Amino acid sequence: MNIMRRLCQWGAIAIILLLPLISRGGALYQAFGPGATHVKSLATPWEYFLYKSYAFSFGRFDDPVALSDQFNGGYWSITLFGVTISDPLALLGHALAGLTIHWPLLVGALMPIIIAVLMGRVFCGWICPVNTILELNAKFRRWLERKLIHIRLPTALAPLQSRYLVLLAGIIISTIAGVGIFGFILPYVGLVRDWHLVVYGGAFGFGVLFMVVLMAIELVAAPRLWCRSLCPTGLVLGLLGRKRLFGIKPHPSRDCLQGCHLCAKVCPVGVDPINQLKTEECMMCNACVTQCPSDVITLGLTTGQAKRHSHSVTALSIAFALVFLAGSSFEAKSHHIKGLPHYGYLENYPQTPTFELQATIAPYDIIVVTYLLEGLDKSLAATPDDAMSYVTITNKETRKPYTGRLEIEFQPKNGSSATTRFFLEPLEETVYRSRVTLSANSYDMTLRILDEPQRQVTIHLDLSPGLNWWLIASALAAIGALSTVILLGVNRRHRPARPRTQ
Amino acid sequence: MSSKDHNAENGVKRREAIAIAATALGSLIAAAMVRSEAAPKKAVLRPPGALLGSDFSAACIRCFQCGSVCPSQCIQFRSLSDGLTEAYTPYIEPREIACILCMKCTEICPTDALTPITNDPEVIATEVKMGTAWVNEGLCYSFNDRICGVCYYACPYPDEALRLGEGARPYINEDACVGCGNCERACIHLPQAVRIEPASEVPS
Repeated sequence: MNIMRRLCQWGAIAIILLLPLISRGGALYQAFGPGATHVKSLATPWEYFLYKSYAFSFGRFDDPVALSDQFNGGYWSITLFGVTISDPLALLGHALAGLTIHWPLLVGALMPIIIAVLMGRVFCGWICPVNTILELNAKFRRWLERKLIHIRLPTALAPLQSRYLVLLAGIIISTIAGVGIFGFILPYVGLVRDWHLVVYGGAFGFGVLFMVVLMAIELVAAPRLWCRSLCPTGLVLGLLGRKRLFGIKPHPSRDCLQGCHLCAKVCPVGVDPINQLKTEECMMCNACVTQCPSDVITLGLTTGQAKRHSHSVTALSIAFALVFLAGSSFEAKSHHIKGLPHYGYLENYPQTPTFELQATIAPYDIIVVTYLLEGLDKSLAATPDDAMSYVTITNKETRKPYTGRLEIEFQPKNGSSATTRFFLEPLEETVYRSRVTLSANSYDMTLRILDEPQRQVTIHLDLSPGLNWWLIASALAAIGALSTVILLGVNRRHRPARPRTQ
Repeated sequence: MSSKDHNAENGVKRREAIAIAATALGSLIAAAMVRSEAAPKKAVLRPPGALLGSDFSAACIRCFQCGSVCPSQCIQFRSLSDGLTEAYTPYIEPREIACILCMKCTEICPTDALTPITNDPEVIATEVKMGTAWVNEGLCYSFNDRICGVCYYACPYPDEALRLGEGARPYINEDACVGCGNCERACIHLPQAVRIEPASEVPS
């Protein structure tokens, strides 16, 4: 059973890691594959690798591109074989944010809900990647304690009821702010989101940061904090599964060892398995089943009339399988419009601006477009290390450009008075261009329109490769919230431990 | 139950009440903060069929499926630094990659934040309104006596949305333009002389 669970966990992680690769590979196959017009040599090595892998794996199918359309998304909302399944909390957040229920989304969330009703938190114990990672984290913690540092690390246990507070906060924020907030904090959503962004050429962000912080907290202070006491998904799934048909149960004829109670010690979510069989916390992680010295606890159907229910469970499984098969037999309906112009390059070099700043002084609209010549073959560029900034000033009312004189001034932010100043005449197509070498710093760029009534506007120009303060502030806020919950839980209300007697 | 236990029980109850009240208050403050930073600095071009303004940020669950199904890989996602209402919502930067109007994203969207639109050029012409192109005549080569006309050949609805006048000068028909951004992507001028103004953030 435990091997099956491990297979499920790592299989789920493998599928989730593969999905964005398949999606992007399909798009690249459409761009570079047979009959396409894109030039392969303009692909980055990563894109070329993805394209080649996709062509190798799926190229033999009839329509490799349509195949990739049937596999999409992540835990929050996933499309497998053309069937979309969504997280119950995505449904909840969406319903609260827009105060509507979207029926297709409800249908998509139905399968996880039914599984939770039948089997409780089986998603947590068998699929969720955060649980997989944090289980390993807890194992590492035990190894540290025993083999390396030889002291017991502090164990703060937040109360299990903290999850209700997290859910409450999520409900309030989602409703009032009009944004489904759960997806932002749930680490299993964040990890998938970050992986998607990485596959599509971005960088790891808040999801990974949050996960690292969580792992650190669980390692040194509060083992299994998230899954035990904070995760709103676990709470919702557990509440749905209060009357579940499948779970841990005592063996009908075997008895506990006197004074053993190992099951309560190993339980990651703080359940006392032998005394509380149908709690909403149990996530069927199998820890008590494998650790029990006398094999009293087993995993299976939890009702006395096992036979009848096993039939209904079998029937339901068959129904799910049929839904999957029906969904996968749908043909992908959408096809490309033929005859639209396609260009032979994916990266629209060098027209992709590095950044663009905008300002308005009525009636003028000012756009400063800056290009770093990174995408170019540098040996061809005259000034490869310069950035190019173009200033265009347009009269919004007449939609005609301003063609008078312009003064540009760069004032460094760090207090130095090394001001750079230009007076500019427009070029042929009324773009203002000048060359300036600026060091990495923050600048106030002041534009003065010198003709007609004089106007000026200051644009903040940040050339310093600074830290993402927003990200750091969010992580600190998350840490603060977590520590508050831990502090609230200082009264460790253990459930009374009564060994089962006959 | 002894009176000491009773007091302890009351203490736990009070603690719980305080915790619930603090959570409610904290989340109210957080929600107010999210709402106050909600006004976006700059409207972005959404994928086709998108709801407008706050309707979109409420309906989008940030599942990223539109971005992964997009065959031209034009759909990008906003970052956390754009604010919580905008974070991880899809947008298109037409100068980088423009929308090819395949409508796959509208089909896959699980919440209809992108309203489903049939992949038929005539339906697309009437139902898609991502934005409107406008030509900056001061920048455009053709308006400055150098014949260009590249945008015309990129437009999926040539002569309807974009027609060429004398000297290959582009003229936009604002009603017929769907705002896909292929003209902006094709423009050979730096910075682009034809630009897409995203559909108004105010619901019509």
